[in-house]
Amino acid sequence: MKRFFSHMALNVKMSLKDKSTLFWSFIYPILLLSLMAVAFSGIQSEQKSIAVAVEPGHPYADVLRQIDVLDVKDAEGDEALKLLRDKDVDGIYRADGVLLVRGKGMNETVLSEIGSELKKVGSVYASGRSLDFTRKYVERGDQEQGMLYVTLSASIGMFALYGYFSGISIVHHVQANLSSLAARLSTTPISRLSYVSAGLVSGVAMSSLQTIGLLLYLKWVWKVDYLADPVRTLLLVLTASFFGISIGLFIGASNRWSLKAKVPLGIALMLLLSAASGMMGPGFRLYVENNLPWLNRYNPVNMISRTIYRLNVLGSTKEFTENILIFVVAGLILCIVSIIFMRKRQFKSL
Amino acid sequence: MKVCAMKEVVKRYKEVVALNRFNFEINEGEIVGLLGPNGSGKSTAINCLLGLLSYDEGEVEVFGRRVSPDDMDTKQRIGFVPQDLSFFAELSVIDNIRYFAGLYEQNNVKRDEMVREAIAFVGLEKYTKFAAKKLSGGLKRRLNIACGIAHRPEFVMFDEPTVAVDAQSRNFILEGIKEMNRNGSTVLYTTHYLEEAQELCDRIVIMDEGRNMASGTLEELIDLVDPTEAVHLVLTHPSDAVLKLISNIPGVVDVTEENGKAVILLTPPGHRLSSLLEELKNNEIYYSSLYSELPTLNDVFLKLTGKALRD
Repeated sequence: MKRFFSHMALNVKMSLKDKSTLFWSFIYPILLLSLMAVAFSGIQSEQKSIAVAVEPGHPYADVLRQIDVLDVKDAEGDEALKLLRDKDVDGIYRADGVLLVRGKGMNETVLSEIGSELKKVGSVYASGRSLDFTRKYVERGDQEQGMLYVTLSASIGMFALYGYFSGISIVHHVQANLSSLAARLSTTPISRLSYVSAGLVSGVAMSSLQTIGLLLYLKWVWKVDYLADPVRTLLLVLTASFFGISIGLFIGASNRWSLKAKVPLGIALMLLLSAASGMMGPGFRLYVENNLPWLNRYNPVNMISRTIYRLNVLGSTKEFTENILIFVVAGLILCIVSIIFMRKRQFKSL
Repeated sequence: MKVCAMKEVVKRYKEVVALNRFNFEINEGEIVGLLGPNGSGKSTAINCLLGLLSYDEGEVEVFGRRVSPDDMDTKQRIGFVPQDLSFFAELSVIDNIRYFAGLYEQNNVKRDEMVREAIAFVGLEKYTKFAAKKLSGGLKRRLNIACGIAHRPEFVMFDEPTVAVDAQSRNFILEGIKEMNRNGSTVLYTTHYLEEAQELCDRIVIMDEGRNMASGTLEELIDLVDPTEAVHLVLTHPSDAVLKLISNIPGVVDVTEENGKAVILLTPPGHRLSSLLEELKNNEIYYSSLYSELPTLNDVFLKLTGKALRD
């Protein structure tokens, strides 16, 4: 047990003393979320003042009227065109479904996105299941949903899996054929299980602290409350961190690629999963949900972001237990397989 | 008592034979040098002894037990200083040594005493709080050693610990190893620097292409290859007659001359120089300068393998 704590202390010290780890784990997420918050809150505020004419026969006229970011004016034909020419509105949703805008700009882009999303989602939209920024009109919630929320929750989902990097680092400390340090440690009476367990516990703790820190930062600085249900959110963050580290352990132990390959692989994978979850905007997420629904159902970033959003914005525990169980069971399986890969043995080459 | 033994060990990396029926053993209290050029199989041999590498044929034993990666008792008794710097770069000097010592000793008081000793041993007292990555190359080497010997191992393996080390740190390291040996540790030292092997080792094993070419003390190895001592003279009046006189001096096996510079080969080495000088004086053969070269391990290596050690 004493050695277990000694390994834990080592891992924590290394994390705290490594400036690049500190930057990528704590500073970079805050910077990125701040940039997103600034960018998307700007869009949100502009969206609130987007005046648009909606012709009475528009198939989603009723829905459009309910969207807060739109200032809907009922007008048709020449009257609507006059409003557009006089710059009283930024666009016209015509009865035939066509969007008419005056030029190119942020407001016109938002109108276009809303229009195209409405067309894509079609009848599914009415149930509010496919487009997050319209959810509030069909599901109960006490906070406003928007691109900001989608993007931020996807980012949180990505950062919650940052334990991946701790996972591969742990493996590269104990697998003799992966680094000279690991070879050296393998000649000592070190207990691999103890080292890996200690790394896992300290990694989960560090990763969870980082994610909770981000959530607190969002709450206090940007007034985005993803801690409305703190207990369940903490549980989600802990299990997601565990899952992130277990992926790192698995990727780290299952092959002989160098860290220079495994780190970019993790970054690329996380960016892809985060994009599918809406971090780069709702378009790609919508595409994935419409064409590859299974991917986002089991996309860990999306599982985290969706559950965080549901818990704290919608007050819903839907999929919470299921997702927690998936993270724990999948994480355990990955850990066990990784430990088998990492068992003590003599290698054919170092 | 044998500390370790390798018998007829064969290790192949696909088509390459790294150890070719390699035989080798170390007795308690010895400093044994494993000397060979890069790629001769030294590190492979050490990694087999450490239980890191599998091997295809033969037997490897440490402290009389077949090497196994699960043998914690044996691991407790050995130390390893790898060629590559292998410690936690972000941690301080003292944290690194404390961590490695703690892998062997759980009692904090004893462990801290070991850490103090190891720091003093490698002369890093002034740098204990420094982050390892901030140390100079030589000091990093010293830390690399401290991490491997802090637990006072009975048997320590050094894999080329002085590569890319400045002269001062190198002397420090070599003196430290001698001191460890005086304190009871058996040492296996691999190097491709023959001067180090000559200075440090009780016994030297010459290795090439995975084979044990010869082993013994420095004198035994030199005797193996029928060596000569080369005496270089600048003759005041060189002539064929003078050369003939020299060639008739007892112990001289060969004389060559070019532009007044003669090279006289004497045998046995180290015993004939004074009689040569006496004979030169008696024969009134005059010279303006003279120096003598005793045979080295490089000569032995050259004769055994047909190539110089640093080829």
